[in-house]
Amino acid sequence: MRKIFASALLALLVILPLSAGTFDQTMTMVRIMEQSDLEYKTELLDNAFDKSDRIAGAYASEQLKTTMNGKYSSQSDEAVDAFKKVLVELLGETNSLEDAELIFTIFKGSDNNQLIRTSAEALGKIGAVQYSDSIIELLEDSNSKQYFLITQGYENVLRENEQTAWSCVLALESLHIKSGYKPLFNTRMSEYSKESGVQDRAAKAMAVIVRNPTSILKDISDREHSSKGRTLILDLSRNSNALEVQKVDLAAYIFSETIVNDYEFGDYMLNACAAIEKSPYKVRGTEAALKKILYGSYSPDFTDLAIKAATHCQNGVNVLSDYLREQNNYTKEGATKYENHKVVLMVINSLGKSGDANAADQLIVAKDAGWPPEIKQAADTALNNLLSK
Amino acid sequence: MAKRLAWLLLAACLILTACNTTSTQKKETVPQSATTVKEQPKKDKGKAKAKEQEKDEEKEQEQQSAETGIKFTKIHVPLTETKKENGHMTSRSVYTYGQDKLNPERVETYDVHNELIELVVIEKIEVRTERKSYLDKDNNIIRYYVITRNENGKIEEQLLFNGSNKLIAIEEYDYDEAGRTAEWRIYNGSETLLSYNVYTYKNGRNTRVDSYSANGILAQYFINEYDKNGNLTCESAYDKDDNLLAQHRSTFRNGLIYREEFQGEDKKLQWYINYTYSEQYLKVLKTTYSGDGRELEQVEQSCLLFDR
Repeated sequence: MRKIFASALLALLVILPLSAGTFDQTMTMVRIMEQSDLEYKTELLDNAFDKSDRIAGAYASEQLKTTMNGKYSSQSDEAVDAFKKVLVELLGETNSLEDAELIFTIFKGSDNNQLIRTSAEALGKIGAVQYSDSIIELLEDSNSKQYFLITQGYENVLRENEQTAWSCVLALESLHIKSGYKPLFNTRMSEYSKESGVQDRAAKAMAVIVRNPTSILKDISDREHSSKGRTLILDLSRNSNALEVQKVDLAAYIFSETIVNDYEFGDYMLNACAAIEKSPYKVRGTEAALKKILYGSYSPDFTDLAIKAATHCQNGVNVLSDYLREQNNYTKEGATKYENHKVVLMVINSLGKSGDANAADQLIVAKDAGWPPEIKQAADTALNNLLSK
Repeated sequence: MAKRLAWLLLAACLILTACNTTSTQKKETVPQSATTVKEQPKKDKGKAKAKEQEKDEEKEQEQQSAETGIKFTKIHVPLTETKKENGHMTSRSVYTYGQDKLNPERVETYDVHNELIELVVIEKIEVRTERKSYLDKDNNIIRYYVITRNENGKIEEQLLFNGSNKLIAIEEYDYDEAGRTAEWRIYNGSETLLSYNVYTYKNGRNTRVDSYSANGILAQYFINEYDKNGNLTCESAYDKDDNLLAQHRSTFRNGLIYREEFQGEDKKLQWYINYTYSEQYLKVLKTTYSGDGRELEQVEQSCLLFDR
């Protein structure tokens, strides 16, 4: 309602009714707030102003000072805390660095969890890096508490703890500091519920603050050779939008080096395959990874994606040709397993699109080997595709 | 989905009920003094100060308006808006427009991970009534306005509700025969008048606004100044004793805004905004600084241009 400078902006931007409200109306609203009781002040500040309204922000700044000096000490704690929460939110949105100290006082001194969380987020938005250690401490504390709370079954406290962790993660993400990386890493590895979204957000926050992805990924790789480490690497790879070549490359490499039968990571595997496909070096590890995929029992979707990705590099095509040669030989001996037929079909289709003339040899063999009709037909089509290129 | 639809229907019913009750009850609560005061001659307080400032302002305008002879006559209509704080992108908003191409029907704001964090939806609920709702990332309504317009499309009444459907404030507008704002009244959620502002025009421009408390006593007044091209260049707020409370100044060149400044009662610069435009004026970069020059935020808008 009260977007600041709306009157001047109206000459420039016609975005009514989003920015209805003028300078005189905003100033009048401030006067009304000054004359209102605490509850109505809170209501108006919370609802009647755009969160980035700097006139409301200036008023909030002044009010926070007087509130901290005990202006509303005769009011109930709940009412004062609700007011402080709205003030802190506004100051966070308006980037009021000069109020960081007061907000930090609330963060450290309040026994109201909601107010602590709001203060943490506001400190992050303001960019108050000087207080990052305390936010990190609170996050690490939440991380350690989480396991204990799960085992003890304190449902309400558990949710509170997750909300606190969430706010700290948002704060560290806003602060963009390298020292935030380790606690976020630990958060990603902690036992937060899926619904809370804390782990996922921590991974995303890491992707935002990571300035040198290669070194961080190597660091993860050195520290975590477990499936958790791979999960995290692939999180980063996925969240990076695959724009940072090194990150994708390294994620793909580490993935291909470490791929095992982790069915629960199917989603990450798909992302890793996409990463392999985008890699400009066509990754050293592709060969090894592809062999594992071809001979493993992964989901058809995943296998199909990996095979399609393989055709983008010569090593991958060679692996596919070798696989088909081997399977052709088994078939001639009558030893092919029925389960392999689907994979063979995928390989034949991909070789047909690969444009590699060397693949033609094994397609010709496949046409005449003892395969079921649909595979022979596919080999014939693939061969025609290949020769037409 | 079904649950949400049911909830929205319930909310719509509540709003309609609220509209009916407020429009009947409110008229009774407007004190006679509001209309009586409207007819009183406007006080001349602050005129001397305004004149002094006018001179300075004109001088400044002449210096700053390096007119190229081309006056910008288009309207910027934003399509996307990217916000950066502390050098990092924090959010991106996407505007969707209705048939008139000027008024957005929907504004979606996404965070740095491209996840929706806020949604503003404007929807018609009656012929001249619309609802503007602010929703959070989980689609919960945080607050909403029910806006009623007159036959000329101008806001007649605006009701503000919080997320729990509690009426927080009511605004009413009156217009003169030329369709200009004549009076603005604000009530609390119990429909008690809190304040009203009366607008005065000179040479077709709003030069003064008097703000009265509910009992008809002048509480504040505002002086508006314009450059020779009719751009609003300075808005000053004074208390009833002529003390300056705040000032908002704007600089225009060729019809485009280039700078805004805000000063508090201590006359200290509190923040300022610089505007830059791309060559074709399709991009507007708005950078806000604190009074001591610290960059607070940067907003880049990609716009379409329409004739005024």
